[in-house]
Amino acid sequence: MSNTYTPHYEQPEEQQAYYQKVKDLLDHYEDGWDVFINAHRDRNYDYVLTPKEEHKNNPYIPQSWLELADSVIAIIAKDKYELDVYDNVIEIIRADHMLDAYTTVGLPNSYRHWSFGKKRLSEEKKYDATKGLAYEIVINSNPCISYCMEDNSPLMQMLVIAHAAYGHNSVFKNNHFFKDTTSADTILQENQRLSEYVFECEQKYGWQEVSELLDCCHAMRFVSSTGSAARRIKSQKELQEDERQRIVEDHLNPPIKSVFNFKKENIDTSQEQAPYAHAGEDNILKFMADNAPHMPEWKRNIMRMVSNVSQYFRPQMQTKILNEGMATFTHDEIMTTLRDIGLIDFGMYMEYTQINDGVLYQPDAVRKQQAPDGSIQNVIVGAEMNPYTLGLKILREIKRICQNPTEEDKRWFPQFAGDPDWLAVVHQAAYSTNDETFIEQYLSPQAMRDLKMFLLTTEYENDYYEISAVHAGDGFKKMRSQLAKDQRFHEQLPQIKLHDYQETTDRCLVLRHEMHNGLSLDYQDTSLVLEMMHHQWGHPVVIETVDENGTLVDYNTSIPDYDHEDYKPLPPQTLENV
Amino acid sequence: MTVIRDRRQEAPNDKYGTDKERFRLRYKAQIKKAIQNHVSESSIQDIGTKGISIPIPKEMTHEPIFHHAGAPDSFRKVFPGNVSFDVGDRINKPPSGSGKGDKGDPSADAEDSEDSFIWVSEEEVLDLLFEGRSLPDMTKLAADHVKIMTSEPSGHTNKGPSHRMDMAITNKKRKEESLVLSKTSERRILANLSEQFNILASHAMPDLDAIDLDGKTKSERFQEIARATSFVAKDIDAQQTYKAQQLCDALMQSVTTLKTNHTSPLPESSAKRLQILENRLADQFKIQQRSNSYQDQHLTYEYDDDVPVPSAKAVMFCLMDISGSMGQEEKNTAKSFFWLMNKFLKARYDEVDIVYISHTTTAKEVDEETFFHSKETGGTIVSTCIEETLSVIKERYSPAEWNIYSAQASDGDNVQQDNPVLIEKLEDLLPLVQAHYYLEVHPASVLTGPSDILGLYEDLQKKYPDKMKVQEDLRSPEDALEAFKKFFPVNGTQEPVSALNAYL
Repeated sequence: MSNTYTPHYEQPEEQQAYYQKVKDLLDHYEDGWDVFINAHRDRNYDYVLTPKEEHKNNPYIPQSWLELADSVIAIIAKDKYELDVYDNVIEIIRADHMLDAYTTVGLPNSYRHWSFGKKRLSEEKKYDATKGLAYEIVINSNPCISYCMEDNSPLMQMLVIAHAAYGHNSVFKNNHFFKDTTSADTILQENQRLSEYVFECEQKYGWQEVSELLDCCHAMRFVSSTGSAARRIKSQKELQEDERQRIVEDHLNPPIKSVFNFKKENIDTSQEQAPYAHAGEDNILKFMADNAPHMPEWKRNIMRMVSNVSQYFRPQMQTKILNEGMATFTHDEIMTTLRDIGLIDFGMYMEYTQINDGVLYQPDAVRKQQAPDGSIQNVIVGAEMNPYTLGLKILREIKRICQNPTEEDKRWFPQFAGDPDWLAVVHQAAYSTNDETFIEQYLSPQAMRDLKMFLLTTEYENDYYEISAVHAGDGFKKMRSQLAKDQRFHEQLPQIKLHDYQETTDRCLVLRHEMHNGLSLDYQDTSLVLEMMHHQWGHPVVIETVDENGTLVDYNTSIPDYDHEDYKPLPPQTLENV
Repeated sequence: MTVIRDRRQEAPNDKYGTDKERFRLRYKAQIKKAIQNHVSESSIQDIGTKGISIPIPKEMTHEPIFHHAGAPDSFRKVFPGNVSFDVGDRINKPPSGSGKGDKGDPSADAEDSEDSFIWVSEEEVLDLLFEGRSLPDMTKLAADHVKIMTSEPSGHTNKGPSHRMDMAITNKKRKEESLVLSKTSERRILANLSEQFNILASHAMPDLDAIDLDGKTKSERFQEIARATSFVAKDIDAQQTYKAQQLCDALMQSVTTLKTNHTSPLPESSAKRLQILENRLADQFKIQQRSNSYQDQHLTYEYDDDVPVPSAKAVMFCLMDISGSMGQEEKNTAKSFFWLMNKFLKARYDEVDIVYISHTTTAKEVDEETFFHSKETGGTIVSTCIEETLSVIKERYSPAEWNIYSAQASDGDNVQQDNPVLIEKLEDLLPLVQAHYYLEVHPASVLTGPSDILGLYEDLQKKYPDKMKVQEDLRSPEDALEAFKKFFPVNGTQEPVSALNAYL
């Protein structure tokens, strides 16, 4: 790429295509270019638009202020920043609607369950105490639904539309983690169907029983650690077919261990070591639904549906930093553009930066405190990284590295340092990564310096924390990989897989937890979950914890003093046994 | 394309109401227990007046999942906001015991760390408290002169407020009528038009060939219309509505064209017939238009009638010894019982009067405030309060009309000479009342044996087991609750304990 190349979005605003479009649109109204400033002065986003005489009856121009704001932002987002988004639905809601949305993490029309009641009560209590609510909530669906609070000022409303309806929305549509694991087209309908089905079952079987089942589903829904909704479990028929194939092949091409050269030790060991066909399956909820020995069909259906709908939350958990970073980056760019072309004045921009800084506030993890003896000491208060700040920092850094790379940047990011088309790099970063890879690939030394990061380690037996890396020297790489590792899913949730199903004896279900960093399972909670599973499965459920070498370190069962080894299926009868 | 939905006026659905109700049902046992504790702990006037907030410990509402055990022994974590640290610096951990969160991982998340609270209103408190308990001998119903009216649904009317409209019936009526009317009117219109057409066509002029009907030649048009009219003769119901409409339109057009282009005069009989048909057509169209819309006679409203219900009235006599020997502690215990009983009666009867009588050596009727708060000293003559009760009954509360309950609290002190009088008065009183409750209260700290008059009351209890109820040795408000439970046992079937509690 030559140095003289200037992307269209770097040219003077007046020469860009979007500018003319915005101008044409605003020309329809008496207020013209000042429409947003006037509405803001009125503090009213129900501001009445007065179209010019000749456009009075034109139904093709925005009829309300909100529509107009959305149209202008859409032109800037799509034409200047090349964002590809789902269609938007913007809902103006009240505080109680917002509390509703909190309760089910945004998904409308969820089924009924006591845990939602509990969450709602605690949210209400929090709201009563603080009167603080989010400005918006956005749902990963097609069309993309953004809930905006009614008490947002006109400026806030513009900010929220840019943030949610274009920033988040573009990530939902383009990020491959979302594309792979969720189906935005059907999620709302799927959830609706689930809640209708649950309602139906409640009518038939009583809500207590359904609620019990849902308790179990809730406990298990995020166990699947790979998160691949597409990974399918083979049906019993397919398994039989596989088995048939194997027998035919064995027959045509007999292995060494045939009846003719049968040796006892051969058979015994090989039979015992043959793993269960489904071993390694991590969507245990779905496995239970498909294979539970005596579960009524409706329970299986609910379990499958919950397992499907739960996939909706997974990419959001894995892309928190990236998602918020991109949304904040988008609204920041759009608001700055609005200021540059004079659609909002400097007073409004000041108000915007104030709000923005509130969102981006990053408390320090270290605080000075007076010790009892009077000396001033540094105390670790453990403030977490603000995902908005971190995400925005990384994306802004990408932009800076493209525009004004330093020698250091060229060394760290040779692939894009000095690239004139910074927007493409930003899109590449936002659409092809999740939090872990986002940090691993794009966190720059300058960002770490700006955020004054440091790496803290401690051992249980020590009575001190040790600083093992700061923003200098080789500390960058250490901190970056550590921060990336923290975002990994199985660092947060244990990895649990199916190990065995003793179908022929006592139908015990054996799960296996693979230990990481010496983190064992919480004993009490695990027992409770196993009990719930036992209740639904109808037979004992056990979980083995194995360390990296595969040695058993912990064992927990759904009923006390049970050992599934006692019921291990016998090897199939052989000639010797007969 | 963006859609903007303004939901500010929309009420949120009641889904979360149901969820909260589920949550409450799940912890009903806890709520009940908490209410009973609350009743016995709080002062009488405060019990449940503003509703109470009941904490449900977080261990109970905990939703278990597979997760890692607590804070790890060791951790590595990146934090923002370095001040002046360099590699190898050490910071002391805060001394253990200064707080749970400070130990181990400083970022241990605080989610789920709070108890949930369920808010229960006063009515619900009482409902839960009195659930399944009933009063003995609630017999005297329907005093003639007091009538309480209640609304009961009784059929439907044609007039009413719009929110009472029964849409199902209204819609059904309209549908029925439109089914009949629209089909009939369609058939009539078509018959009318085709007759007009036939009359006009039979006298068709030769110059009809010149008429250009809707871009088609005359003969084509006539064939079409002939086909169409043949349908009219058949069952029109077999046709789709829109087809009938099309036929109607086609016929109408043809008839109009024929009329305007008809130059030669018709025979008189035909002209007359045509005129009649034309007049009729206008009416028929009117009927057809009406047939699909809601008419006044379709509108149906639910109707409630006021029905008198028999009412039950009760009067409660609260008798308390406020002499010097009754300490504040004993009074509190007694008041707890009176409060409970008062609320209970109010929950069970439509109309409850309460008469407060306090006594030392003399008895007098007082108001609520004085009854619960006044302090007096002096000796005790118990029979005076029974006498006062009798006189109030005689004066104001005819036993024929009122259900009378009396509750008496005392520490058992009485002048020896008064005991025979007391029994005499009680024997007078008992036939008049539904039940008489006697509580003997003592201070919690002092050991005292049963008093003399307790024996008397117990003898009476043996004599009148239905009417006289005695509870001895009340020492705290909790005992008052126990006494209340004993006097009014749960005799309804209790709700089965939820299977959900198996987890708890």
